[in-house]
Formats: sequence, structure tokens, C-alpha cells
Amino acid sequence: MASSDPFDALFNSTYPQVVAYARRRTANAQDADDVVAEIYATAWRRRDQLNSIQTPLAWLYGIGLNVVRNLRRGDRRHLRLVGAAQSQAAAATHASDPADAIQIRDALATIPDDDAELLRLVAWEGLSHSEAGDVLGCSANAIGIRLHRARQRLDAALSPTSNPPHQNKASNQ
Amino acid sequence: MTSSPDPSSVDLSDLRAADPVRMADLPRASDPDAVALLQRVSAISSPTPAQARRGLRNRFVPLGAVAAAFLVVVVGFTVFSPSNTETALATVKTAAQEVAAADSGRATTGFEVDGVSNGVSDRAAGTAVLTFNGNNFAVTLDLDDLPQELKDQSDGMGDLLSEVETRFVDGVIYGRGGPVDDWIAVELPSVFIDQIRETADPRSVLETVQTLVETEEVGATTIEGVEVTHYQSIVDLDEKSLAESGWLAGVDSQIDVDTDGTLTVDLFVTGAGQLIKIDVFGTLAATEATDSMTATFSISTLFTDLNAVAPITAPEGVVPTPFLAGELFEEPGS
Repeated sequence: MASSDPFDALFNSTYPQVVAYARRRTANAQDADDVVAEIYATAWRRRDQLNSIQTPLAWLYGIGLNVVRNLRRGDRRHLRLVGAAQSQAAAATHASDPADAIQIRDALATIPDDDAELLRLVAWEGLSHSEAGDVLGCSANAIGIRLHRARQRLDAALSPTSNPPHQNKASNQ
Repeated sequence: MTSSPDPSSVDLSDLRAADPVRMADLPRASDPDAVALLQRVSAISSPTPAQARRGLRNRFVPLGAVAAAFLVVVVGFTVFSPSNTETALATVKTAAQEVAAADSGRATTGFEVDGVSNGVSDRAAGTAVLTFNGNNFAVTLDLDDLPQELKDQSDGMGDLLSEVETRFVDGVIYGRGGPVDDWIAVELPSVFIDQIRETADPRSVLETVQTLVETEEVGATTIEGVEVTHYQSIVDLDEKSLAESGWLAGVDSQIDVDTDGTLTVDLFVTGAGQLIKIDVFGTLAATEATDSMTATFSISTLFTDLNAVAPITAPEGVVPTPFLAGELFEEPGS
């Protein structure tokens, strides 16, 4: 759907990725829809910034970060969001998911929120360090340091379990 | 978008494989629900200029407080006490204590704070020069930029704050600035003297700053012609509030600004083992339910003239007036 309106163009070019972002951080599709709506509503209020936005997805994810945080802080209902470990992991599980994937998601839900968020941005949203830095408000260099630490914490969260997938790969390095 | 390689024990490919979302299953922007969402969002009316200004008024005041408080923190950073014993931390700690042990010196701090609220940007920027000798201090504050809203509210306060000179000598505060050329002086009770000394003296905050838990050596560089080693530390304010981390407990409890974000602290140590520069870059985020506010600040402090500053003296011809409790401040505990 072609449109000359910059906001329409932003919406059309980013909608699936933003839906994916929201679903990765919520317990069910309804909550995800709420997050998506709030992200775009906030983006609409700030549409005068669109011309200066270099990476629209990173900008939207940055808005999403605040939306998810605000929902978590502001409303008991949103305890179902990321941070409520079991519910998130359970809801996000596909019937066909391998056990390793479930194990990793369980571990991801037990580490500090900010570590988990950084790992999601890099691994699931596919952001570069620089783009993740744009979302989280720090330098690419800082992202590198934080990412290393986050992966160490994820590794520690996985270590008590039996045969997590990373252990074999780590042993080959 | 691609991710950069990063050596660690957990493989990112395992994480990618654990992604609970399959892109092929996701709705498209042309789906009816998405089209309806776009229509709903586009029907939202924008805030009026008055609403935006009210938002700024509420937000940039605490931002200004944060900026001012960080000035103190950065000055105080000279004598922080890292809480672990890694080599880099130990080196930086020793280098800071070299500065702390100085009888006199000068700390020059430049700062910038940029904030965005309701899509409206504003900034504050300036330079502070703090000179210390023994228990006496001289501070010159030069503000290049104040948030417009503060200027509007303060009816000339921007001019007043544009260049303020303060001396703290033997329990008396002397000040002049802006349109006021003459010095004024206030003789303070000892309780305030102690408070100010604890806040302003770069050598006395060893007990209050305990946040650095990770520091690593970045490499060699040159500052003002001096070869230095660059260290970097990340202070994660998402995990701890400023107060919990030992930083700015008073500010954290008084302002409605959450401290989510990160401080990146760059420290530069000379070959002689002396800390000569600290750069702090960080972000803060507000937690209000409907709108988000972010602020980015950058503070750079350079230490010079250690043990080479002349005694700081009271201005001539100024008669201190006694401090009257309740007139300017409330007595602590009242």
C-alpha cells in the first residue's frame, strides 16, 4: 500500500517487525496488540521527528521499550509482560519448539530485564550494536560490554540445567 | 540489520533459534486490523502548544536538578571507592586517591544535558570551575544554555545564572553573579558548613560513591599533550536506582525522574598514576505512564594544578551577615 504520508510509510514498512517486537515481550496476542497500538500512537505524537530519524525501527523499539516498561510499572494487569517469567515463557512456546529453545527462553526470563532486553534486541530483532545503542541510549561500545555481561548471565542461568545447547558450542571454542 | 560478532560463551545463534515469533505468521500492514489501527492512531489529536509547554515545565525542572547534581557527583568522583579488586579498578582507585591527597587543585567541568519531552527538545549546558585549597573553595559557574522554560519562569534568572562566582572561605559563602557586581556574604552555621563541605569538596566523598563495579582498560591516548591510559566503567542504573547505587540519594528521593539508563564513565590516568580526566555520558528516563521523557547528559571534568593553587581568600571589603534560619533555608531537622 503506497502512501506519500511519512507516517503511513513508516507504519507500512515497520508493522510486522513491531508486532513481532511486541509479541516477544508479552504473554498473549491481546497484550501485544495493546503495545503495538501504544507504540504507534506515541510515534504519531512525535511524527515531527520523522524527518530526522535515521533508523526508524530502532526509534520505534526505543518507544516500545518505554511502553513496555510503563505498562509493567503502571498496571497490575501487565505483570503478564516480560518479567513474569513463567507466563511469558509458557505463552511464547510453540508446540513444535525444541526443548532447547524453551530452556533458553526460560533462562532469558530469569536474568535481569535489561540484560534480557539487550539480548532480544540483538538476537531476535537483529539489531547491530550501534542500533541497539540507539534504542537503549548508550554507545555501541557500551552495548558490547553490556552484551558480553548479559550473555554471561544467561550462560549462568542455563548452567544448572542439563545439556543446554550453548555448552557444547562453548566447549568447541 | 545485522548483529556484530561478540565473543561469549552463549552463542547468539542459539538465542535466535529460541525466538518465539515466526515472521511468516505475522500480520501485514495491509490486513484489516492493521489498517484500522493506522486509522485510529492517525485520528489522535496532537497536544496543543500549551500542553507541551506544561509538560516541559514539569520535566525540565527536575532535569535541571539532575544536571546540577551530577556536577557535584563528577567533582566528587575524584575519590570514589570501587567495590571490587580488579586490577583496573585498583589502578583507577589509586589514581583517584592521588588527586584526593592533593592540598589544592582545580577541577574544570563542562556539561550538556539534552532532553526530549512530548517530542519537544531542550537543553542546558555550561562550565563550572572548582578550585580548592585546604578547606576553602572557589566556584565559577558559567551557563551557556538554560532550558527555555526555565528562562521563561525565572524572569531573568537565566542572566543571573549565566556567570556566578562563589567562594567558600572559613565558613562564609561569598557570591556575585549576573547583573550583581558587588559581593554578598553569608556567615553559615556549622551544620551547613559541614554539609557544603561534604558536597563540594572533591576529597570528601569517598564514603558516598560506591558504584563502580566493573572497569576495564580501553587503551592509550593523549590528553592535553600528556600520555594517559584510558579506563571505562559502565554503571547500570536499570539495576539500581541512583540512591541504591550510592549516588545522589537526596536527589533521587526528591525528583520524579526514574533512573533507568546507563552511565558510561571514562577515566584517564597518567603514567605517574594520577587521574586527570573523567568523562561521564549517560541517559535518564522518566516513568510517567502516558509520556516518556528521556535526557542525555555528557559531563567532562579535567583536573589540573594539583598542589599548585594559591590560597583562596575572602573578597575585600565585604562584611558577612549572620545567617538567619528560615530565611534562605530550613534548618536541618526542623
